[in-house]
Amino acid sequence: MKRFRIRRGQRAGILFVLPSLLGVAWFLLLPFLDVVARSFLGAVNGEWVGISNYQTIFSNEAFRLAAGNTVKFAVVCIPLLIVISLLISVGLTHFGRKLGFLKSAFLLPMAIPVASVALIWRLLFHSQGIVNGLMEQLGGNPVDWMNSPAAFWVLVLTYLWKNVGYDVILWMAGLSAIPYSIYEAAEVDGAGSWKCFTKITLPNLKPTLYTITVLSFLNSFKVFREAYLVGGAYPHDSMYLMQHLFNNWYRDLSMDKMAAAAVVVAVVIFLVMLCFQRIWARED
Amino acid sequence: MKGFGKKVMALFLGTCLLFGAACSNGEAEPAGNGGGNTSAAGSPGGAGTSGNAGTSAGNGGGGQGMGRFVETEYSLPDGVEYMMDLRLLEDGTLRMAAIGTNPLMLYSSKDEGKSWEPVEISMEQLGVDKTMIQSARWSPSGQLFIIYMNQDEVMAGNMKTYCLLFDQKGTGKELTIDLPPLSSGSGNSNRISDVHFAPDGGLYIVDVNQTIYQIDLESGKILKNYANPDTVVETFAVIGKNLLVKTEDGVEFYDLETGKSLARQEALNEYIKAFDSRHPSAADVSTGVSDYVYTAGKDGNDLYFCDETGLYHYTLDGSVVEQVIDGGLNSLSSTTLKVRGLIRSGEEGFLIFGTENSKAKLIAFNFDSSVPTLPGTELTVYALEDNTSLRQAIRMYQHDNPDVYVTLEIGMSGDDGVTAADAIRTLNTNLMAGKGPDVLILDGMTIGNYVEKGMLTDLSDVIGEVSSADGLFENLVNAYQSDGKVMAVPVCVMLPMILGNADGLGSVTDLKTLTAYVESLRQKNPDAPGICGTETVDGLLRWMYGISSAAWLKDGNILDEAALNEFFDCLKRISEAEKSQIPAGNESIITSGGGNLYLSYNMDLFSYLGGDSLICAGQMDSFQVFAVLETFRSQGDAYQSLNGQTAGVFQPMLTVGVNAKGDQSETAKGFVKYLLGKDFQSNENLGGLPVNRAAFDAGKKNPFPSDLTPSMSSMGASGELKDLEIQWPSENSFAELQKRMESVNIPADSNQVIREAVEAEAKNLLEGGSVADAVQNVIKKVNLYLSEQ
Repeated sequence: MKRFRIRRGQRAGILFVLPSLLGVAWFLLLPFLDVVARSFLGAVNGEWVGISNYQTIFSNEAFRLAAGNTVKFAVVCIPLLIVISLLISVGLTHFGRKLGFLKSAFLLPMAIPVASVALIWRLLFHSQGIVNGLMEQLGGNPVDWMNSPAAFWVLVLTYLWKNVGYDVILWMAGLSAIPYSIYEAAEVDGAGSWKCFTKITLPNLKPTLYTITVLSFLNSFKVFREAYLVGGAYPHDSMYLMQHLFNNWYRDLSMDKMAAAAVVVAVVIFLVMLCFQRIWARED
Repeated sequence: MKGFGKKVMALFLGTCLLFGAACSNGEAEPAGNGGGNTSAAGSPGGAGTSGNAGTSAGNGGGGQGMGRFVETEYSLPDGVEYMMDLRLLEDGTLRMAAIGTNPLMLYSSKDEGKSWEPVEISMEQLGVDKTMIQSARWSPSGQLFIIYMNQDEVMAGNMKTYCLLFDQKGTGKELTIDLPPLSSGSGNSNRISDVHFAPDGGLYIVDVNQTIYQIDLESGKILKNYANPDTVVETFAVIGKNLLVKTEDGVEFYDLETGKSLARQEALNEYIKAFDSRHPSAADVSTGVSDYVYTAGKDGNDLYFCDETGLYHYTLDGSVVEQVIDGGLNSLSSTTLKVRGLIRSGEEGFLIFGTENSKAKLIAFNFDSSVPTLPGTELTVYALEDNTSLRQAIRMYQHDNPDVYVTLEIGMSGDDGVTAADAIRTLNTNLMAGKGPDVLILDGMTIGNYVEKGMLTDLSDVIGEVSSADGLFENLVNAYQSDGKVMAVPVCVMLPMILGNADGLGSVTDLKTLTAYVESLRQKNPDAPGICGTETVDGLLRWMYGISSAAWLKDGNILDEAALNEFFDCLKRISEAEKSQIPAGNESIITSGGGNLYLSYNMDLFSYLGGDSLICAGQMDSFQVFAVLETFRSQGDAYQSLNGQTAGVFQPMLTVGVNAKGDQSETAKGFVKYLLGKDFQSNENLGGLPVNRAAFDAGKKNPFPSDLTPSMSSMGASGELKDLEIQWPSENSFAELQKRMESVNIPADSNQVIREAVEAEAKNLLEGGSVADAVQNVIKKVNLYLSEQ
């Protein structure tokens, strides 16, 4: 029979980790278990309702709309962000010192407060905003950005604008970790830029890709802040996200539905992370 | 050893992290904070306040200490309507100077105000018309100083004041005080604005030039002046050997002997600054009244003062302002009590005099060590916005229930940028955590959420009790009945009404005919300054929304597009009819603001009287407004219920519910019972028409004396002043009003999501948008909201 033994070196590590683990358990795990419990209970009376809350949310139009928008947003934004930030980082790395100042410039959007972003958003995309003004001057027709399906693309643009700098930095860290000797060897063997990029750069960036994908996915949920400040609790359908739904359900004391939806979202995110991890582990 | 050291270090660091994460800054935030403010109804919010001598505010709900100042109202002699002065003499007797059935009424008390005997003075031989007496003050030795005016001079526009001084035996003489002329050079006479006696008998006055003088009592000569040309003296008092002068910059102290100003009292001024920000009108010197009254303490360098939050003590050069009496537990927090003066009484007591509902009041505060510092039971009441009726209700309830301490939590104070959505989220968090208030005032909230989710207790038993005792308008109190239970009850209501020309008003039966009527009025009166008298979209929405919104939801969860279309179309047409007279360049009738919680809109009867509007639409909220409507009717105009897209709508106000998870359910129900009871429902500041039948019947009585005819005047854009003498309605008129109240049964919609969507689109519409776009945008937003349910 195997015996579980804590080796000497492990004990100190466990003691170091224990406070953080207790904190995470107290502030995250236990509340999450409470949410899971509430997803099977009534909103206020706390009576057992089984899976009816889950049935309710899956048949709820608003939930389906929000979930669809959230998935669509993630599927559109994350690949775009990864590709754009990768191309920018490769370019910055290639041009070296000449465009070094751009590194800071790409990070600036992250430093701008959310309220300021919302203000900029209004100035740009109001029906009488700067963008429509430019379009009219160029002979185009103004677009009602915030009250039409274009609102989704405004949201995507905001997400990309805000997060590209962060991913550029991560990519550049990954790029700098690739030994230059490999490129030299490839050049000696007659490999061109494209071959170097596809056969050397990309494979070596896989660890970074995993990190960036996970972080980008988590950051995609933060775009709700700008969406809420500009569009309010009920924006255009195309930018109505899960957080809007949660926010509104909370206001309406629909804790049962909220708990069920939260559990569903948590499970989905968990499964996505597991998939990433399995893919990654397989690659390794 | 090395391994042992590692273990010790790991344990140490781990312990540090654990305790570091576990540290907090004390007790949890009280309910309502993070989204608003928590205050006892009357407890202090000013800076520099410290613990309470004799009270222990903050223990709430189970104060451990004993001893509190207990309030007793003393009866006044018959006929006293207004007290000008109350003074404790050197010999321990109390003297009062008042006006009432006689223009000058003087009394003396040997038992600290419990009983009074008249004091006679010889005034007749002086030939002074008592009705022109402006002020009377007692000196510490029992002399009486009177300021009066000459009627003929006053009729001629000369407001010069004259002075009399009566000795302890009541013999009087003229005292001539030669004041310098007015610094404004207007030609009018200078006069005395206020007067105080110092403890040593010195007389101090302030004139219209804002200069304070010390006057020689024998000769009337000016002995000293304390002038600061840049300030306006709002009030002044003598505190020991110092002069306290309150200006718009705060309170300054001057040495009476040298006239030099003392060091600025920062702690006191911090407190007064907070008061001034709560009561900007108190600084309106044109009223001649300041809401702060001061009296000297025992030591000569300390003072007491009071406001609606309590009575405070301050020692000069001190760093704290001490609360001695918590206003939340007594009449000091009454919104209708106007305190005129404060004096010390006995060893530790106080006497406060003033007026409440136009009646003189004398209240004694004496320390009783056998009474708990704070009542044993704490009741928490929550409202999104502050409300004077609610505060009055709390004060009255506490007065009748001294064993209950009511804490009022306000979700949106207006100073902290908290929105209604934020405040409601905070409230919901507290409710779900079991720390919510006991009583919720649901105005501004979507009542259906709390009713449907079972957050509120059934109040049918409370309604039944009050109904048995006094009778209630069942159609009003049961407006939110659901499955046989009543979870929310409006305490008072407003009725949508429209007043206008008798000939045309008969054609107005709903929103469409109202719109057509407004347009026809504009066609016939192209130059009229206004039609409805509401130029702003906010104003229009306030009375149009409530009478129409109930028609928009079909089967409770589908928006009626046609009804919405009609509403926006009518809104646009009415606003077009209104704004055609707005000067060029100023055509927009959109005003800033909005986001108002309440859809109450008082009828702008002054605008109608002055001719600035041809009809008056709004909500009737008091018997006084009813009297005005009846008066207009008696003169040939007409008024009727204002029906929009739905008939039978009323605006509920102070809708109250009891938290089903609260700790004080029975006490909370008792509070609701009090709100619905005759006592509170009969008070003048209810904020709406009573739902209590006994209070309704009591309201039929003419509140004005038989020899007084109230009137209103208005000068419109034409420049012509119009007067209206108001006749109190007859019994038949009240019977009609009663029928009207019995006929309405649809509460104006309280759904905040729908209202905000409509408000946003209404603004866009009136800025040039189209009705179709407005309707579609509202439908999109509201359908999304409805699909969440």
